[in-house]
Amino acid sequence: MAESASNLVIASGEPNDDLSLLDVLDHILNKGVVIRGKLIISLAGVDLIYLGLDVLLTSVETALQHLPDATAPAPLRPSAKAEIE
Amino acid sequence: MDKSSGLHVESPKLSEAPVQDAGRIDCTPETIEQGLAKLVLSLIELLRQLLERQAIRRMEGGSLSEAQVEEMGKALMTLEAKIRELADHFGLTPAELNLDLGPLGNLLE
Amino acid sequence: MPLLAYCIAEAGAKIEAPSCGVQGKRIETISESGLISFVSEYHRQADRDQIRSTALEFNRVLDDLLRQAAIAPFRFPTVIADQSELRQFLRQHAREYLENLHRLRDAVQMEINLTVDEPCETAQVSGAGYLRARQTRHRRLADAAGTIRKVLAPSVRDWHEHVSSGRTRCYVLISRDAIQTVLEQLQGLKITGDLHARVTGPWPATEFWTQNP
Repeated sequence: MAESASNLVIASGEPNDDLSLLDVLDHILNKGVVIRGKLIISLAGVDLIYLGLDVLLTSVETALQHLPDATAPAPLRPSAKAEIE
Repeated sequence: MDKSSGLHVESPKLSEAPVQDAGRIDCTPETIEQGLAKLVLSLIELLRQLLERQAIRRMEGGSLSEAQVEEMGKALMTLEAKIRELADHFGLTPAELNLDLGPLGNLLE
Repeated sequence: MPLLAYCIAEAGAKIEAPSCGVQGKRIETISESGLISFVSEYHRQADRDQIRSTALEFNRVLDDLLRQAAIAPFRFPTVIADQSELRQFLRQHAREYLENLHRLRDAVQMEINLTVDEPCETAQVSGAGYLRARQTRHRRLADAAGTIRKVLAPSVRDWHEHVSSGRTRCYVLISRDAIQTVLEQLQGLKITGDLHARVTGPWPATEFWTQNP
């Protein structure tokens, strides 16, 4: 990570801090090809709704649970297409 | 919705589950409430951003009186404060409501 | 045997996969309809730390591949039961992927996230004052994006901006061999005051993908 005298941060290369980790997770969890988009919504333990959408609604939130000290990143574009985002 | 309603339900062809366990979302009262709040507030925040851009445009256009600019600004200021308050109530940060619409965002200009 | 899918590339691309993927498994290649896809055996993990390190390893593999050729990464984790599902997908979408991967074959995207600080809470701000402050923020972000675009101009093949509140995300399509130049040019920029810029990349050029080529 390189920092100049200005407020510019270049986070290129191996992610070695929480913010870079979030950048990586943002990309691999929320962008990219989805082969199939099957989502099951369950209520009180009962599977009710099957959706043919490629939406991973809680992917970032789930990932954030793995990072105890990280704060939420800028929100991401929800995927609305079956193809690459 | 159940299987008898005509909704075609098919088991996902997955032998392994992704991070959240077979793409399943468990709705509890708490998650439903916060999920809905986030959706609704994100949409309202989106509208607020559009209104703000329009207001600025009109202000720059010079067609508004000082009084009109003042009223618009006050209304937007109040709206922003209200959204923050509601978001806070549901444990949501402003950043979480800041949707990135991607290419769609440019259409809304 | 469940397989983790990494990405899709052109079959003709000169691309050599790293020997090891996540979980220390060998990376295999699946060829179909002029495309290739990289996969490896995958065992579902319950441990959070394990999943996190797996995600990072996944990203390293993508990085390695991206250095060599254009790729269309799969979302993580895309786990398939066997090759057949993947092969069918490749057959069905061959045209789209071949056209995009060919068009973007030497390209990567850099991202610049521009933000401006929230104004300090001032006790009494008039409506007009509020609106003018907002106008200034918009202008500062737009100007900063414009400046960066000018500075990078010779390297910019395409440019997208996503504008939201207090934030503008710039996506810059550049050639793979322009990465160093672009980073050096960005390094020389002076971003001051309440403006912040965060540069990440290179990433696969997903922002510049066209759905119906």
